[in-house]
Amino acid sequence: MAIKDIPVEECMLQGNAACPGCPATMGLRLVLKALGKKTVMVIPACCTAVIESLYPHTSFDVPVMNIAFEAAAAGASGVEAALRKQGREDITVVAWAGDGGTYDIGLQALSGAFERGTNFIYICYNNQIYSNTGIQRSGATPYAAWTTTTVGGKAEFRKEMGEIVLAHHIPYAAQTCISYPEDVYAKVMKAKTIKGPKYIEILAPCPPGWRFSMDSTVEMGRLAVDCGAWAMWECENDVMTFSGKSKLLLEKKVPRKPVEDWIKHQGRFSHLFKPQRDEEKLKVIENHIDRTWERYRALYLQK
Amino acid sequence: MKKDVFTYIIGGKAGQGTKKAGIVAANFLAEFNREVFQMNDYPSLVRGGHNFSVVSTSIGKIYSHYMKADLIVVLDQRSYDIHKEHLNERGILVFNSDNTRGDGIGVPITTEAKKYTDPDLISGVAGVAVLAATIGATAKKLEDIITNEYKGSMEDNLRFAQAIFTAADEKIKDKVSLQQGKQKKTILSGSETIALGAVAGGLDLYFSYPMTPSTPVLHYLASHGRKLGVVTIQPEHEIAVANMAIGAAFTGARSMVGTSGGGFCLMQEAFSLAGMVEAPVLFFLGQRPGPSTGVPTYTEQSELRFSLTPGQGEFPRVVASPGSIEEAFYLTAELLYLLWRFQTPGILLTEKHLTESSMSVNIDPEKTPWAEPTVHTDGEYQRYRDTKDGVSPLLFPPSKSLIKWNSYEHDEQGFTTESAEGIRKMHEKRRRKQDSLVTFLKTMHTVNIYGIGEPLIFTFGSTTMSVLEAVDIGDIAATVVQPIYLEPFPAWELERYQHHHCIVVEQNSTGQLESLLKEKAGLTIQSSVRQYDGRPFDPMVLAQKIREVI
Repeated sequence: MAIKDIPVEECMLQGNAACPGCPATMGLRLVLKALGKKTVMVIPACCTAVIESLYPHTSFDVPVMNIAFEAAAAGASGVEAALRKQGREDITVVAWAGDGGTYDIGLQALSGAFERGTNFIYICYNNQIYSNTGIQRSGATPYAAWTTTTVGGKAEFRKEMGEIVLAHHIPYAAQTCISYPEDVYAKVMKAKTIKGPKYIEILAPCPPGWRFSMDSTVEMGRLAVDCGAWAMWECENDVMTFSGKSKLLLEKKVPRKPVEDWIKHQGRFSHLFKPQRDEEKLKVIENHIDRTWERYRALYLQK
Repeated sequence: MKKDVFTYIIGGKAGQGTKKAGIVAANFLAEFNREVFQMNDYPSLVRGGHNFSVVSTSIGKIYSHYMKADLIVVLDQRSYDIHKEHLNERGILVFNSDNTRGDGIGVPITTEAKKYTDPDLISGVAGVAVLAATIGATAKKLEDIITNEYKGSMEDNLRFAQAIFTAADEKIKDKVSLQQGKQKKTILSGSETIALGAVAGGLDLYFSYPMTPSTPVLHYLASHGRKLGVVTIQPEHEIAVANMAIGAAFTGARSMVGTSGGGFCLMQEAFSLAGMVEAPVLFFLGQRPGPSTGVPTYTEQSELRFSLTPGQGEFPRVVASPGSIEEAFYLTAELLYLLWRFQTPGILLTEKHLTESSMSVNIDPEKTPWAEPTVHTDGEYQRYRDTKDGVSPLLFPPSKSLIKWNSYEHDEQGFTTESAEGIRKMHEKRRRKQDSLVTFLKTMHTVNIYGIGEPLIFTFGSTTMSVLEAVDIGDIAATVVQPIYLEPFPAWELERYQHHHCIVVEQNSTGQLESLLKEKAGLTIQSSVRQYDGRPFDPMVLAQKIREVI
């Protein structure tokens, strides 16, 4: 899989109303290239819902249905059931939701759709905050990150949504990152060929939300993977495989970069460095990542 | 004498600091001991939208912004095109000569801004500098204001402000002379007075999930809550929000939740639960145009009827809507008090125009009631003891007595009952509580009445501010009647107007207050003024509309 293998046809056009450097539009562009025009999208409240339907900036070339915040997976289940009844199983149904709509308010509907075996792809673009309502914390916000509702830094760790999904034992689940377009594209292409519920989570570094400059979106995603704050993997019929740099980290073939390399570029962590370094919290973050990878190794490393 | 109003508008792109400049301008004008009203207009966009802020000031009371301005500062061509219509006959328009062609006074704002690291962020400061020059403030005064109001890049902000001040000063120096008022007043937003009013009334915990226009209260309490002794929690959705608040009330903690229409829909089941278990929980509801996602950052009053009847089943509830940003402070505390007095859920009904606008206020925490429960003292404890007034004393865990809050129909002890007599008895207890609540409200101030004579103009919520300003500037002789309480509806105060000439002004398309006045107080409504375009009324336009229907 190389960049040149990704089709040139676009279903996500230029001139939309997203912020410069927005990872959601980068993700949508890739996802829709993989899925093509025979796709129905279901979108709950999230940044995409804000940018997706403003004339003359409507940039989607596929049908879109907005749904209530808590109900992306339920709305998609309805679309899928009706298309199946009409014999239109050639149409791919995709729910596209943010981390707030997935980790928090939408979790119940998501779990229900997975348990029912809904034939759809659920994609969570995870920017680790509620961004369009003004940068509030979500269940995906990492420890110590500033948000408008965690003014001194978040006191809790992010939940492992991917592993919650794994507990449903659906045919396909994957984590990827916007900085690796080939990986995003390949995982969506694979999901498209599998029947039943599919889950793909894309790490989506948000320039205004994380407080980094808009030309660094790709770099922020790569650093997150390099330091182990984010893992790329796929799990097909309960067989777990780590991808790209995450595979090398799992197998200890490369050293993990210090997390500081990633967070020092982000204003949401600036309180850890000034007025003086908060060694204690920096250590808590490093230790948490180490423990997470030890657990990954114990669970997922093929012996 | 005609009311002396000075209005300032600053417009630009999102991210240029127009809202901040509006707030700074409001504080600047307050330095002249004048009263101010500030309104922010911004679209629900993640970037690039046209934002503007309006500040109107007067020597005396001012209840609204005006859309015809004496001074307009626009940072880009789009803002110029939009706001040139808003200049009054003696007004001055200052535009950014680097990117805008038009009539008015050009100042090279971008050229100056480019000398600093973040030319976009700094732009709003130019608006403050132009205001300073126009009203004849000294360079020193401007420096003080910038130093007090802008954090970060202080040197840049100061030098930039002085450069713009000097450039503007040559062209517009002392164009306007503002009369000094007598007393300096604090400026607060509706969100701030709601948060502070709740604290003054005894708030212990605040639960909320982000939803415009209630979010500023969440932000305020998330950053100041600790100092104010309030725990603020943002859980995973509104269902959790409302049920956490009931959980907190179970332990005796005074709790409030904040949301907007969509979130409140998710809270309805909990609202009904609070009615059944008799939990005092205050629901702060900020309205925006619906249905569904609607128009997130604009204003409307279309949830009046919805707020009166949420939740399945029959139970007492209190709904009240503040008519001003100042009243929001006292009413929030009063509602907390009432809900704990009568152990039932209630709603503080507001709009974006109230929660996100700011005005000069006079608030005194000593004048608010403090919410306290009636506590069980001796004898056998029964959660739902069938008392004369329907209010059963409370007991909180830990306790040796059995404490049961039951969502099923229950007996006095709190045990589930399905007996005909048991069901009837508990219904009657809740009805008696409703009667006691009405009796109590009859001793309270439930309706605001301003002015004398006919016609009578009925309104509610933030539209009250628009109406008061309209009758003032329009010199309209009328009585303005604002029911503060909407459930129980204070018909006892309003029935006397049954044979009068009544007009209703409200911000929805179906006339919800009008139908309520007819239904509950038997009033005859001659005519109505309704606005449902998401924008608050402009007092000049509203005055004209009122004149047309009188």
